[in-house]
Amino acid sequence: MPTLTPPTRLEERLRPGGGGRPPQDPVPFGGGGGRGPEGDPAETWKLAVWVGLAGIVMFFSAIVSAMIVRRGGGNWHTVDMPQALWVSTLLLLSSSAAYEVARRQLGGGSLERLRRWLAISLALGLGFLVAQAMGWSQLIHRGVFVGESASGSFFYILTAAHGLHVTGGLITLAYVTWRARSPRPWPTRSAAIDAAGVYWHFMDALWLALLLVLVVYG
Amino acid sequence: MGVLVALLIWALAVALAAPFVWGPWQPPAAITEIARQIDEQLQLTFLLTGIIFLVAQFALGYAVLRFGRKGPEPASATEGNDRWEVLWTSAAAVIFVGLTLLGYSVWAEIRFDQGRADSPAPDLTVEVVAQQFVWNFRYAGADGRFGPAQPELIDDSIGNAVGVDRDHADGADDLITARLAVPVNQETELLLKSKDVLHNFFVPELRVKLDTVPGLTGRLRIRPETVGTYEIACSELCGLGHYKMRAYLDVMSESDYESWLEEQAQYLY
Amino acid sequence: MSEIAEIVEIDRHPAPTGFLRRWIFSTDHKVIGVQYILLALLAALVGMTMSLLMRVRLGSPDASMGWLETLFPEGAPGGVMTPEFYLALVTMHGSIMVFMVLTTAPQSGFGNYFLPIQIGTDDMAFPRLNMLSFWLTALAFLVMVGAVFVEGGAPISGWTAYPPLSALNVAAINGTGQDWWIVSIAIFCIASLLGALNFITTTLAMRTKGMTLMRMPLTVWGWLSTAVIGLLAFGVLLAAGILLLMDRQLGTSFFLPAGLVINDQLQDRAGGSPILWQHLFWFFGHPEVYIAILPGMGIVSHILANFSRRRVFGYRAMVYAMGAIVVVGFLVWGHHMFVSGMSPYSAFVFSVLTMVVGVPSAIKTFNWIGTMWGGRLRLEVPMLWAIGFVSVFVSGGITGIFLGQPSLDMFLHDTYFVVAHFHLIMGVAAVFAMFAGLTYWFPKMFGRAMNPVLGHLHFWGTFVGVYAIFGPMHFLGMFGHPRRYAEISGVDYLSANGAEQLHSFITVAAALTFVLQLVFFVNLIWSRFAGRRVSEANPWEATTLEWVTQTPPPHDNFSGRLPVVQRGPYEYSLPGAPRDFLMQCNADPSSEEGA
Repeated sequence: MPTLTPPTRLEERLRPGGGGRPPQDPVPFGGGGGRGPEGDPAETWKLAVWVGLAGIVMFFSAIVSAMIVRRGGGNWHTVDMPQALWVSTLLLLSSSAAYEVARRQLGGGSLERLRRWLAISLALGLGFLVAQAMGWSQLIHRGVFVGESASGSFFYILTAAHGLHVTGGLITLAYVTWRARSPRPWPTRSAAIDAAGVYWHFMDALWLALLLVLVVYG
Repeated sequence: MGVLVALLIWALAVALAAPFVWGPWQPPAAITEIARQIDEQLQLTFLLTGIIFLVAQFALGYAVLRFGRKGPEPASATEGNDRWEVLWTSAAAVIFVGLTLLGYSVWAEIRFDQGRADSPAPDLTVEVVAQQFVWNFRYAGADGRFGPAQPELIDDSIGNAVGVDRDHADGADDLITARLAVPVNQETELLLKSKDVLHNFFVPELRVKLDTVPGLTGRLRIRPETVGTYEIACSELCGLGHYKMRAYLDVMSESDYESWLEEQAQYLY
Repeated sequence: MSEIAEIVEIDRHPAPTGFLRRWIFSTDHKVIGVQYILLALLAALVGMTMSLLMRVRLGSPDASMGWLETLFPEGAPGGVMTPEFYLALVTMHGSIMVFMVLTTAPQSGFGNYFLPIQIGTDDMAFPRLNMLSFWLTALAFLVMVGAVFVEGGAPISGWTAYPPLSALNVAAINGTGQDWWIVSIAIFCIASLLGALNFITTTLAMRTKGMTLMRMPLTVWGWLSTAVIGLLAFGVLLAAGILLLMDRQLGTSFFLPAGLVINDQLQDRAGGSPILWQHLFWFFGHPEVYIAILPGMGIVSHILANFSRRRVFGYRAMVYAMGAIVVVGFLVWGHHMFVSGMSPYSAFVFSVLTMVVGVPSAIKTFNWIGTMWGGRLRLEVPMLWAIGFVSVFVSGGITGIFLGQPSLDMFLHDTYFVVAHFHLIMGVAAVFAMFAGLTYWFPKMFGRAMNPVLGHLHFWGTFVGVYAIFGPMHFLGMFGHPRRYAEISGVDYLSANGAEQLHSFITVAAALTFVLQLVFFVNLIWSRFAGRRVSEANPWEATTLEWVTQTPPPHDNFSGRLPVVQRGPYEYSLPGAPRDFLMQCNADPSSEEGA
């Protein structure tokens, strides 16, 4: 707390820690160590992913709250979930599981398994997008379009937005898979795979949340 | 130079504050009880914020004046004062929140009480239907009931700006006028609607305004006490003609109002 | 560079070569910072010109101006501005100023340049992402300007773009430039989100040894707080913009209710709510105004400490106040909607919270005065701007107390009282902080001093000028003059109350103040290339890490030797110290080198 009386001894003020904080610094660095010897790129990238996810959550929250408000506005026809969505959900969850298997090879596992399971995860992720597209075509077949149906328009915008974010994740996945071909690990390999894993698993959680919203409020 | 800065700060503060008290630009005379209550709240807010404003600007100028002078004393080494901090934080919180709590009752009276099932019926109900860029007013006519209205029936060319169903018994006698006439000292409820985009019904003498939202009906009750003609100025950007979307509120004596109604009935088609 | 007692060595990465890599597609946070500042200055010039044209219309409504017709034959046929042109100016002025000036320069401009240096690191956490953010912002600006020139005309729905006016793609009522406007905003949102991510990660992960959170300069706290707000708010604007675009182009009905009759045509939409847009927009929009002001608050605290030779009064309270503004700032958006048809019960809750959010700002104001109190003030140009900031911040903030009360807002909403309020706070105070920052850091950034005579001329004139412009707008509001009126001839009580005279006065004041800003631009450009050279690292005798590096800083800021921080950021005037300041990173107080 700021003090009323001024410091009486110069030495006390000049001791490391004086000037606003108790003498013991809880972390060796002020922050995560930055680019110094104490810095950990994996921690930095994971922090960045979590920060980014906060922004993404706000984006989807805005659309979901718009949906809940709009639902009360009348002219709302419930949309039954297209069958393809159950398939796509399974594919996405499997993709995450596969990614985890790959990720756990870091720190002593087999490079072969790392490469294989990354590729499997990528394939399953692509499968998710394909299944989502099939879900869209099933809806169109049923006559639910973007414009005329309020519930339909929310279905499309939520799945499209999520799909776009998944696509971004897939591009990252593809990049990581491709670079993992090389037997020599590049310096930030673990950091990249770790951080990308956080994002990829979050896409799952986000999808499950959106599915819940669509089923309950759609 | 500190002197110059201080003097300028003080001069500007006075120049900003003085016209509020002594300048000619004031709200027009209030014509309802609600408007007078709003004026009271306005005065109180002026008083309290005026004091805070002048004290803060004075202190700022004084600090520059006193400590902007070259002198041998070094700056003081304190870095805060918890007691002062708590004091002015509490004072600010009490004044700010207190002001809005004091204004609660007039807000509640305008907005909470209306539309409640148990509030007494108004003496008159008029529909205000805004459109780009004119105001339409609908009266229920002799039967006292508004006829049903549909947007499909809107036809400005024959004077049915509101889309009232003339074939329906209730709708046959509805009056659609270009001026809002109300009897003095009676409570009129205004039902605010819009045909196209957002508009806002505002009469400075009433001190109240409310958006007209398409798809919703807003409610505003007024009990004007002074006969006269007052301008209604649209107060929500509604397009190119926003600046000239103006109509008139005519507050009339009871007998004048009845005559006006009869006269309007002649234009019924 | 001063001798730093304790350092941490890091790998150096070589500076880029070649004109493109060094100045155009640079990943150096300092270059990107300057790019943002230049973009903001360009946008400010465009925005100011637009406002001047608006003032010409309002100040001389009947005059037919030949030059106006020459420049804008479609917008001002016969030398008289059309309502379309006026409202397009209103929309574009607001959008460009709020987004391209107030959201870029204070945060992305100064923040990019000085955040890494002030926390003792060599660049942002993600330099290439940083570069992407800038170029996306520049693209957004281009698209925004493009919205003016499209075939269907510029949007006329204001920077707030309320539907149904903004959501209906009907050429007669709104320009089709609205679509471009939405796209521009969307790109800007993405750029801002990426920037916020960079700022937060950098501040949390990249601080040098000894730079604990409570030793960070208040400028850094300002940028961090702003980044947190931006991270949580821009996603909502992006979502709203997408929904609005869908309503315009895909036939959806998010914001459009049934029964709309436009130009005698019944529109085929149903179930949407115009108020939903307002909720989404203002959920972003209110935090946005804190984005505009918080960096400025940090800069002002920083400069007041430096030029008062005192620690910031109540450093901790300042930090907590910023935190309170971030949190409570997200809970008050409804005060823009008191008369929108929103529930009056929630209006009351919003009102109480709005009053609460005024308290941390009051704390900061008292603390600024407290910082100066007992100091030895050095009234250089940056300090004058900081003092001016406090004055206009008080003036602009105090009218918020009126508008935050719904009973009073019923009278004052959408009048010039509101215009006066937000211009004093955003258009003046935030800009004063930008001038303070520019004049303060200019020597460090460019190794030259700005001309003090021009600097004084600019300050004194502008300080008077802004009060002359926006003071009278309060009085216009007092008799109920509505906003966004292209002219005042359509409503009698306006001229009856002297609106014409006030408008003329404001226009003259605006024109003079505008010319003064050109003095500033001249000073900026001239000083950059021909100003008195500054070679010392610490010309203002300041304490924070940016004054430890060379002037101007090398590509990686500290040449691979990151300073270790020993003390708080504002150790001025310690009794017994050899000089009246102690830098954050030196341990030996008795050394001759500036301590």
